[in-house]
This record gives sequence, structure tokens and C-alpha cells, in this order.
Amino acid sequence: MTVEKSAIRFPWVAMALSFLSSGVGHIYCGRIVKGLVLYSARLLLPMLCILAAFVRPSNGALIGLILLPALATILIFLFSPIDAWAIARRSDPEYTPKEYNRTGLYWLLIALQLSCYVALILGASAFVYEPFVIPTRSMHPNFLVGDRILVNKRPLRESFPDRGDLVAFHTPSSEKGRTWMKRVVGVAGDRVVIRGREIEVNGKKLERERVPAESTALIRNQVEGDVYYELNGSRRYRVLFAGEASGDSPADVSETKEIDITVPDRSVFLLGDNRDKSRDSRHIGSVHVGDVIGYVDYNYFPAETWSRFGVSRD
Amino acid sequence: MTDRPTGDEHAYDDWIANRRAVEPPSELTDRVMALVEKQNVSGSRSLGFVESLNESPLLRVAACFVSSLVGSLPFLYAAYVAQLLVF
Repeated sequence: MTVEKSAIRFPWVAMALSFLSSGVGHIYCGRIVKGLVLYSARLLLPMLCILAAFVRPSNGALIGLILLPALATILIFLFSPIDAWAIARRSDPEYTPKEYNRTGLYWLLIALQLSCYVALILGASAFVYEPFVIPTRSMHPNFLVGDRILVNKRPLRESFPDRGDLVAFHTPSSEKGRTWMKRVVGVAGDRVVIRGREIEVNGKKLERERVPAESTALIRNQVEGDVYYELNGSRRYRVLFAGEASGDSPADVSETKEIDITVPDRSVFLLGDNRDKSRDSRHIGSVHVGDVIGYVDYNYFPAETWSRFGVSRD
Repeated sequence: MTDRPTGDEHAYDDWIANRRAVEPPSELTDRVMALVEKQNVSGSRSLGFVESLNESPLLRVAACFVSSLVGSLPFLYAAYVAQLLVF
């Protein structure tokens, strides 16, 4: 790597280098400190998303550790080339190339940043957060078709799913679709009895309370039927049943026969929140905890209305 | 060589004259400049490429555009993984 021989700093070269890797254009113009700051910021900011997996899910964590750093990274990508171009335009025509003004160094920095990005995206989606799109109505009214959710893969190493948790899991190979999302209704050792729409866990019937229609007005484009709050232990969540207004009686809509099982060891019993339109443990049986990918933490790009953005609340 | 001066001064003068009369090879300049150019070629290749692009405004814009596309690839990939971009 030989030091550059040209004194003049071409503005378009500074801009092109900064497009390829933020900060390299500034290094080309002799502004090594500013260049390294921009370069480091663009590398380190996206890594904050990994930190988000280690804190309690909240809208603050989603915005502060994932969305804002992503936005800042995009702004640096746009600002850096423009600033480098302006600096090169103002630079001395008799600029003396420094020791670090080497073509090989520029390419090294560019290759390092691009490869770090690829490694970060692949690693984060494999071990930290994996995004999914909801393709079906099986989790209405809580998740609509088109919702983008983030599944946190980290906590599963420390605890088992509990009643009321939303989990993503690998389906049996005979089922369509590789990954499903359902809600935990029973854990290992629970006796789950389902008769039509009534559910008993360990001999106790899950109580339900009708949700007023006004509360679900914003999602009525997709959600049809009657929404209830269901109480399972200390957790309360909404479930959907096809309403009588649809012309179907409850007996016609429900396809499941009576179920009476004890959830095996290291397994969970899962149900979709849209009880009349969901394939779940009533059809495929209990799911082994080893097939559970992680917990659903965030709805980061909701369909229909942005009021549903953020933590997947019960 | 002895420390007794030779009596034949003409032999020395002839020798000096002969040494001074030697003509350098005609290709000596070319050989020296070729060596110099070989020394500098690794540093001037990239500069030559840049200067050739600098001749045309269209090429300068195209270079910046291609760089912006390559630089935005990580963002496009992240958007694809985040299910915000569907192909």
C-alpha cells in the first residue's frame, strides 16, 4: 500500500467512498477523527438492537434501542457522503497526502464495514430477534394479517413458557408453513379439557368477559365475530369467536371434538386466539418446548392502525 | 604498480582519453526510465483510473450512483430480513 501521489481531493471520490462506507470519504480528505467517528457510529449503533433482547420488552426499548439507532444509521449513511463532498470541495489544491491516505486502507475499511453488517444481520436474526409476518387470521383479534412481529429468541434459554405467553414454534413437517405463533394455554402437567368453546385447565373453567364492540372498532376491517377477555391464571388476553351474526351457530363453527389431555413433560398446549379459525394443539397435539423458537415481544409494523404498535400486550 | 614514476606519461594520458571517449549505449536512457516507471506503476494505476473518470461529469455521477447502490445493500438486506421488503 503506497501513499497516494495526488494532492488534489476529488469531491466525487470523497462522496463515492462515503457512500460505500461512512467516514472513509472524510479520511480521504484528511479528516481522520471525524471519519473514524462516523465510521464507528455506523458500526456500533445497529448493535444496540442486541441489547434490546436483554431488557424487559417495552415501547421505550423498541424505540430507543431498535428504531432510533436504525434511523440514526440511515441518517449517517445519507449525511456522510454529502459532508465529505463539501469538505473535498473546500480542501486545499495542494493537499499533502497523509500516511493513512492509502487506497488499500480505504478498501479494507469498506470491506470491514460491509462484512460486519452482513454478520450482524445474520447473527441477530439467528440468535437474538427474528422478524415474521402474520399470514393468517388465527391470532385475531390480537394480531392481524400483515402485522410484522419480532420474536425474542434469547430468554428461552433461561425459562419455560408460561400460561398466556405468546410463542413462535416449529410446526410438524406434515403441517403447512414452517413456523407458527400461538398462545400457551397449558404447561407441562396441566390437565386441559376442551368441550366446544369451553376450556378447563386443571379442573378450573377459564372465565370470559365480553369486550365492548367500541374497543375493537379500529380493527373491524379484518376482525369479525365476538371478542372476549379470557382469564387464565394471572394472565388476561383477548380471544375471538365467530359471532352469531355471521349466520353460523357455535356448533357449526367449532370443528373440534372434546379433548381431555394431560400436557406431557417439557411440552406446552397451544391455542390460537381466533378459536374458531385456528389449527393448533387441538389438531397437532402438545408442542415440545424444544420446538419453541422464542417469545413474541413486539408488533413493530402493525396492519390497519398504528395504535397497535409496540409491545404485544395482553 | 610501483612507486617509481613511469617514464611514459603519454600512456596515462592516452588511457584517460580513451576512458572519456566511451559512448553510453543508445538505449541507456530508455532502460533507466523503464525502471523508474516500473517503480511507480503500482501507485499510479488507481490515480489514472480516477483521473480518467474525472474527465466526464457523466462518469462521475455514475460512479457516485453505483457507490450509493452498493452502500445501500446492507439496508436493503436488513429491510428484507425485517419483512419490510418482499421480492
